[in-house]
Amino acid sequence: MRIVSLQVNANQLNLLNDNQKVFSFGENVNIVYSTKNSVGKTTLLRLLMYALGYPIPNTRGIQFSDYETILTVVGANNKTFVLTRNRDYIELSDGRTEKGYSLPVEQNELHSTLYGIDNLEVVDNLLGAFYVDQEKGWTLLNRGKVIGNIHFSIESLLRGLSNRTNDELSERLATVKREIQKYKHMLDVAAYKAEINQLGETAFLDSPADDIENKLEVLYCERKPIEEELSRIKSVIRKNTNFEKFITSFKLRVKAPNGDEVPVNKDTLIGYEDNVELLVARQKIYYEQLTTIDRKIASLKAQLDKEATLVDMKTSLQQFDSEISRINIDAVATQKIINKLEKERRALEEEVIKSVKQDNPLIGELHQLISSYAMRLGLDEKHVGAKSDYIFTNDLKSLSGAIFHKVVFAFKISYVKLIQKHTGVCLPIILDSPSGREVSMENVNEMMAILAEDYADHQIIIASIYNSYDFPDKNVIVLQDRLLPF
Amino acid sequence: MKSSNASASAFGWDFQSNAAIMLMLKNIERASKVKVEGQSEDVEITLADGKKLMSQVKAVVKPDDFSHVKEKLEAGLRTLNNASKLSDVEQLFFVTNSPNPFNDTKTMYKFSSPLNIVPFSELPTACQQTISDICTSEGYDFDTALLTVCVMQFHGENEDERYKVLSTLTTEFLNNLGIYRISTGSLLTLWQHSFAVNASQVTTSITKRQMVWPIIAILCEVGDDDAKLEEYDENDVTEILQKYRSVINNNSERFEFVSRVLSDYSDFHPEMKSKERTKKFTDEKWQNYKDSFDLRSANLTTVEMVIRLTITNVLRSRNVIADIKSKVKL
Repeated sequence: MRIVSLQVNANQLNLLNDNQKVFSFGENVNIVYSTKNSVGKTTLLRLLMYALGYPIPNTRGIQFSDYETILTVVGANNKTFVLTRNRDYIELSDGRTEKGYSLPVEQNELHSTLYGIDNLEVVDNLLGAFYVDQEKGWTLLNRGKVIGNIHFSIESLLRGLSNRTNDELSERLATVKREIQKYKHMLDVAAYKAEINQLGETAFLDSPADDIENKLEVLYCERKPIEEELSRIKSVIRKNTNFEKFITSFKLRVKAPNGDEVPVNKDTLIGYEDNVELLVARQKIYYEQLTTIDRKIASLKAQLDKEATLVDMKTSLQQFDSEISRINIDAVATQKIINKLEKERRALEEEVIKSVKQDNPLIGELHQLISSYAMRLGLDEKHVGAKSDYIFTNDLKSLSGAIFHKVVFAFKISYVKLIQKHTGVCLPIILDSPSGREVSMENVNEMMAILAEDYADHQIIIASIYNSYDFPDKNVIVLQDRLLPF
Repeated sequence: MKSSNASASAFGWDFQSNAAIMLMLKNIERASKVKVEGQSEDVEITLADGKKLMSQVKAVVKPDDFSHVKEKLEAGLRTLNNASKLSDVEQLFFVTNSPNPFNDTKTMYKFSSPLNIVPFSELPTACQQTISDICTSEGYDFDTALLTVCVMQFHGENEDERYKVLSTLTTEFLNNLGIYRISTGSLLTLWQHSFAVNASQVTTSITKRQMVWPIIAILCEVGDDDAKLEEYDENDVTEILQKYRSVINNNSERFEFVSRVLSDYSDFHPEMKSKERTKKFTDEKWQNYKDSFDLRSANLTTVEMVIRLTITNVLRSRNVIADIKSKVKL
């Protein structure tokens, strides 16, 4: 893949200046050069990555989202692609078809199409292979952050390149990592809780108001069935009254055995009055229970009002503390879970590495590449181990500044070579300030010689305050004053 | 001297309404209603025959403070003297909670029981003399034979302590009716609140009916008594009641249904003894009442239990009502 040109458009029209700027890149070596620092070399390289669709953090003074980027590249199958990025939306056009991608969700699909690589683990690790950022890049050897939150992992890359992707294992690993994060947050909460308890700041938490609220809750629960029973009795009384009125309305008269005529009404209906009295008494009993409860409710409510005027409203911090103190977390148990998960995580990681390492010819191949380049840069077995699993080393501290710089360079270009061999994709090599640190000019020249010799097919983009690199046909992009005049 | 129109303090009103309950319970067979007049500290009991028992009720907040008891006695006698002029007055009562209503420690022994009801003739001579002296000097001309002095213990913030005498009286009253399963406390509270509800109106009257019917209502609640009559297991009944209490009550309280059951029952083997008759009646007739129950979701055993419990409750309630009414002459 090769970058042809980058056009940067201002999203906001600016009447005083041009609203766009175009940077063109040569097929081979490009030097982004300025005599001074802080004129935008790093920004330009980052803009390129941004235009490629990566989530790149802003540099000082420039918000990438303020610009529209139009990047022309020669990508998969030597096709020319135009990528137009506006904030989180990027459009990929190959001259015939256009497709939009939403970032960062569809980043992998975009890059898969652009680079012409199907294995997503490889796609995921490309940037870490070909791009060396000024800040983090020169300390990234085999795993860690490339820039911002973009990760690189040698295991993942090799897994992808050797088609040994184990979804189940990596999913489990991701899950365990997520769980560890969550349990750690839980532990934080437990620690917070312990702190507020220790400071005695929970004294106000079980405030009388809470207590009263609880009592009120209980009373409302007691009240409900009584109220229902009362309304049931009322309805029976209504039915009885209607029945009596109905009977009375006929104005019936009956004859008693002694010949007396008796009108049929509520006074003469046998048992009617008792029935009425019984229901009235029942109603009274329930009503009495209800008023007793209501009296208690009223008195509690009055207390609650008093509390409210006495105690200032809880601040949101107090409220938060109160909520936290109610959460029941067993710190010891949580720590145990975390320990267990950490153990599982280590085991899984080892398993992942093992699955990559086992009988994998790529390891030897990569080691061979790294060793030979290291040798050419004047390093020996003291610095780069002779065993092939040295490439998975965690030991970075033993390497001093200049040596480390060269080791990183050897690793990076080896990745690019390996990727080219196994996918056919000829990645560019983008280096921000390779002459940094205590690297001697001699060493830098050796690095450039390797690039000129072994990477002639690759596009090289170097940002530097030196322009003396010895390359034939080098394209120098000179930056003066400001990268973008708008 | 303190006027008899002095406004009743909360304590005074409490004592007065409790004295009214006490006087009602002591005269429950003859009484028909009681009127409590807050302003004049009167309690007036109307008997079934229209005659009246007139009372003056004087409370002291501290039982050992005798400084105003004499004044209270004088004030009480003056009001009672006025009351004696009314027609139909059968008795006059002076009621107080002071253990020394005559401010004479020598006569205190006579009033040392929790409740002392002493007619004039049985008062210590010194007390009789005190009353006669007041009447003579004030020109009161009521017949002292009508006068009874009541001293009822009624002190303290603690309700158990304050209402001890009333509790005992209420328990006695219930026991006399053969009732052992009603909580004395809740019944007493119910009565006391009948007065308290109207306290703001200063004048309240409560009838015997109002006092007695709650007792009947509690006794008539469907429950263990019905279970016993039907020889059901109490636990089964508890379970049934949890679910079907409203269904049972909706029928046992409905006059139409009650009338139908009682009518059927009165034609049913009148010669039999009550308990066997009830059993036989529910055994043979319960199916006749199925139409009043809409229990589609219940199984047959449950339906039968619900209907039989309802019928039993109706029949038992009728007996309870008749029994209590006759005992208190309601």
